[in-house]
Amino acid sequence: MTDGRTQTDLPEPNEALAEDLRALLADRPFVPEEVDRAIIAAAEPHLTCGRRRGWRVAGVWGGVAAAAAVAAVVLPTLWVGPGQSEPAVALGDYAPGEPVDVVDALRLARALERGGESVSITWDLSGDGVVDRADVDAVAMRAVVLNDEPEERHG
Amino acid sequence: MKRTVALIVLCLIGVGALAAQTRHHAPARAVFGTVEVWADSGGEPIAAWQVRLRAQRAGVKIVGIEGGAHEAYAQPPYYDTRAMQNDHVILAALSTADDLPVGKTRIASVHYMSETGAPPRFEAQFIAAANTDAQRITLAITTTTHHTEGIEP
Repeated sequence: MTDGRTQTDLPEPNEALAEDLRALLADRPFVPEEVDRAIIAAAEPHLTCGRRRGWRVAGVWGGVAAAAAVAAVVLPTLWVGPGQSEPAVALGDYAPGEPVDVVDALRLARALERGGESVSITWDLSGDGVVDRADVDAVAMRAVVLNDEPEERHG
Repeated sequence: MKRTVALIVLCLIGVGALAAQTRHHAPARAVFGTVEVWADSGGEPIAAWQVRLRAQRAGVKIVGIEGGAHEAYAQPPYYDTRAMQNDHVILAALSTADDLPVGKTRIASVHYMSETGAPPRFEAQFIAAANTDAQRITLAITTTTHHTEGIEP
């Protein structure tokens, strides 16, 4: 603090560096401050418009994506074809020899009414190569056979 | 004269024995009737049902099966044809119609013949049932028996 400068640990000036800086600044053209302000003022509307438009586009695409996601989840649960009611309990595969009852026949009938795409060919009990109403009857008839009396079933 | 009397006595004994034998082997008066099968689902629509019906007395034969009271089950249910002339049967029916019975309804009627003439008693056992969504439900099964007519053998 003895020489009047603030107390910092600045390094001693490098003479070579000082020469280089002076040479660099000597070639810089002078630009008045008014010109800088005019350039910034002219550019600012374009820069601002671009940002707003960007946000607007992003918002639109975000909304579309959100709507598509909601539709993908909700629509399959709402779609009920003509003459159909709510989806029935899923029908699995039929294992030969497995006891069946009238509820299995009902589930098969309901699956066929919904189009039958999800019905396994294992339910072709009539053996004609297709699963149709005849197989519903076959399942029901198998359920009432006297020598294969099923016990009460749950689930 | 003695021979004639003896012959008459023998004839009377034979006729008496024959009459007694006939009375001993005569079948009793057969009785026909109907047992109605009722199901109570509470508040659930009945989309499918299956019950077992068995006579609790010997000499009872099933001779006919009819559908129920509701239009959805008006047709005769599924049954094994071997149940005819038998004392038990498994009955089942299903419907995918929109209009289904709810609560207590007659689901079938079974005609029987009692060879002994004694009024039969039937035991009805619930096997399975489902609602509109094909989910399993429980039904309370009851029967009512009506003797309709009898015939001499």
